[in-house]
Amino acid sequence: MSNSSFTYEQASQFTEHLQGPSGSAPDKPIARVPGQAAMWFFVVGDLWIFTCYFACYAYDRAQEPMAFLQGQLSLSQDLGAFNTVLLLTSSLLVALCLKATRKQQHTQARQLLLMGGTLGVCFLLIKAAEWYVKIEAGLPVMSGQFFIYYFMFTGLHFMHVSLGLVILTLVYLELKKATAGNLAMVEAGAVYWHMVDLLWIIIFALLYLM
Amino acid sequence: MNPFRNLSLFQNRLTHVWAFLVATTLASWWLGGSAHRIMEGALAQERFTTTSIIIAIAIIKMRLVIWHFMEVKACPRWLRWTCDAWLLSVAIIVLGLYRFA
Repeated sequence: MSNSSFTYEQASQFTEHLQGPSGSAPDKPIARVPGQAAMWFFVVGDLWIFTCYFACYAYDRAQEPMAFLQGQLSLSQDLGAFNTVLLLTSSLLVALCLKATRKQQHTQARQLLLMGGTLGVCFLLIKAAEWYVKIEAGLPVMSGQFFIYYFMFTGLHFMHVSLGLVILTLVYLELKKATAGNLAMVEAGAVYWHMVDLLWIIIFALLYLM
Repeated sequence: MNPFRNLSLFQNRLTHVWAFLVATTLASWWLGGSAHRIMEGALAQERFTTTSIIIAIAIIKMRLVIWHFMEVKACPRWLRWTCDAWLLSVAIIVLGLYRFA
């Protein structure tokens, strides 16, 4: 189904379908891909590339389990968990923004998007502070393979969050126009932002907890 | 104006999913923190059970984000299967390599 043919009327039907049996759900559920197909191609590809990195990490960790565990213990699990909650909340706000957009509540959608984006910025600031503390502490703390992976994973993820913020800004500007064509763009932006959240969930488990 | 108006926040499935995600984050954070308690003289291999639970929780969390936030539950079958195949692969690859490599 081409996205341009997906109207706001269909969108509200789609929302009802997502909400479950309550309300007047359409007879036959609409199976469709939110946003643009290109975004999904990118998201799935990106996830597989990250999976290769995770495989390398798991293999190397199995070779030196104690060294990796020691590296892991020098990270702040509390900050990692706090950052996870920040990104999860940000994801919720962006999901609600999409819901508001489908109801054509563009002002409300912009408010929710702004809140979601602000939490994303907070995430980046906390991550930068965490790096600063690690780098300040000097090389002895950072030596070893664990920290190579730590900086690689968190660095790549940092770039993804930054790109996500650029995309959310574009979505915000699109919502200001409030033209009928912006729904697919809001959906695609939301999909990307949720992928950033997705990656952090597994990176948090691999680096901070396992 | 209240940015949450007309969203029935407390009856909203998205909010329920979010609450569950935060709760499981706290649970795995507590589990991961247990490393500090067993560090003394414990072999990292003994952590395999804890590690498996932590990875399993992460997989469940990611499935919920994919299903409800990314709305894949209402997507065509090929995308639902692609996402589930990815999740299963991550679990098998990470735990398999960590355990047997």
